[in-house]
Amino acid sequence: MTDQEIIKAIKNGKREKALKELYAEFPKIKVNILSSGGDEMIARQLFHDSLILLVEKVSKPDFELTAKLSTFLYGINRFLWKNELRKRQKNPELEWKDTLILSAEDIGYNEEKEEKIKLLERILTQVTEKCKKIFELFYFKKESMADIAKKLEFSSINSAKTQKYKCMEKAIQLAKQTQTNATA
Amino acid sequence: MRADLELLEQIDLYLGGKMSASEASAFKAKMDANPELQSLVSDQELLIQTVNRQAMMAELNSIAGAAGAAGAGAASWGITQWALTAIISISTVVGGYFIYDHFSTEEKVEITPQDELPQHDLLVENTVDTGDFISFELAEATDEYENELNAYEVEKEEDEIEDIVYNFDKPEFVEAEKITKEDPIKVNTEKPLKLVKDPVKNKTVISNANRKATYPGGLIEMKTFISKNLMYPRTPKDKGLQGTVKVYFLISAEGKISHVESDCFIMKDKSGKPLSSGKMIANVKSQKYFEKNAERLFRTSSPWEPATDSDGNLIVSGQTWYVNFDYYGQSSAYQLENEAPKKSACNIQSESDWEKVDVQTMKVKSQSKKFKLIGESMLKTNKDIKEVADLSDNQYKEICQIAAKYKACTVFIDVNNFWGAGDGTLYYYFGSFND
Repeated sequence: MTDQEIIKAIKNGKREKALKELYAEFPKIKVNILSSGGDEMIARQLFHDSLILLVEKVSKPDFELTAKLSTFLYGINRFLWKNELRKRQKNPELEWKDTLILSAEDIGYNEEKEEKIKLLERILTQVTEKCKKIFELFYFKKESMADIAKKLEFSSINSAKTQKYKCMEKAIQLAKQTQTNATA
Repeated sequence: MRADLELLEQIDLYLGGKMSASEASAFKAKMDANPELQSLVSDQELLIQTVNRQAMMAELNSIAGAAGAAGAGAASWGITQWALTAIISISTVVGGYFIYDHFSTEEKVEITPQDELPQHDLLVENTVDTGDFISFELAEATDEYENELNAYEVEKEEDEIEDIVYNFDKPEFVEAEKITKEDPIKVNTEKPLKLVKDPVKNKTVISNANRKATYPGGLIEMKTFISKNLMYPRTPKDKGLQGTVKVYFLISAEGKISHVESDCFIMKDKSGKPLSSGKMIANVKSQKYFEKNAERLFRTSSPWEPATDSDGNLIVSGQTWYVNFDYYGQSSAYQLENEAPKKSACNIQSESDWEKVDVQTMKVKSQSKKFKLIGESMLKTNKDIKEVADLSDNQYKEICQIAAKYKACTVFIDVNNFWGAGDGTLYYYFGSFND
């Protein structure tokens, strides 16, 4: 697959093929992390996190490819690894070949946002499976509400829509409550 | 703030980049002017991002295999911590099925039966469906099941009597006077027939029942029963047909199921497209198989817990269920509450008709009314019925239920036991008065 094909697949919600393709980069990245004090586990973890950030970045309507995707992926990985090392109170120079030096802004990484996402993740365990399924099918798989209504046995597209928004409303409301409780 | 659906939908369009440039800039301007909207948008954006990350992490872990999923050490920023959760929750959804009933007390966002109920094509839109709903997986029929099904014949219970329904080619109205004149009973007695009508009793029929009849143990047990006793019949399965069967039956005061009737009123092909009437005829065998399956299911589910009236007495009642055979996955059995038999044969509508009939002569006072005889049936009784008052409440209600089934408003009972030959069989005739 070419970079453009991968990007197209990601944008169309057909990530699996694209991710498999990108996963081929893992061995090279792993070598870099292992050589600078990391282990297999953290390497895989960071790689997964990088892929997610990459996909998020690519999915944005205003995304423009300015380097090879694999290079971009390396750059994200390098950033995250540096971040991790900083947490571990180490700051070695990372000498990776063909790597972009990216800032947090470049890759859309934001500590505060990550905290919020962690919170929302907990919130999502509080909504029903059916809600999660609707979210997943609509936002992740990018399926139409008509298909979702059929798949999840809703009586009509409208009732599926209603349910989706009920779920959304509930989740946001729960998040607000949790936040208020945390700061109070 | 309670966000309305339209707004949330707009936010979806905006975030998904599905607005036109002008729409998007208008929305952006609105957002800039409204901090509340702005925070709603960012909340929704984050939630979507979280959903996507969870799902993607699950996907990644499946690509990476078990080795990847095991990585739960010192996470740099936590994504992996919930990777496992995501996998587990997704697999639960895929393998799961749902039972909805009225007793759910969970704090979670509930999906109510109203939202859930498959609405079939013949129903009026905006029907408020609050009946019971059960969803289940249907296995394809085994040899044993098919043999049993083929051997299955409706064995009439001893006290279950077939109703005779007259099918007139053309609507044929018989004047009430004429009926009584031609009726042989008339020859024997002054008052051979009596109109079953008692406004006071009307008030105690099913509509006021405090509890409707249920399968013992409720919906959960019923689901178990269905899973054990229903399979997808082979004939329609082989042809890729799905169908919905309407089943009507009575539950006696003793809980016995009788008068089971079924109608597979719609069949669809694999793609969900309803069959044309021509194709329906061509597939009459499949239709019959669906009906036989659904009918047998309810007949063998006997006995049920009977319904009760407002005083808690056990009473006879009727129920309508729909069995939906889904070719791909979740088949279901459900009820539409507004089809619960609320009206009996002796309903209020007939009251005015009754006022127009002279009991002594059976003549319609106004002459504008004509009686249409719809059918006849009989009832085993253990004592002579000399007048309507001799009927027990349950007998009264059963007659009303039968008449209601055929949309008859008025019932005549043969009080002189002319046809019954003294064996305790009560004959009755039901029909309607028409303008």
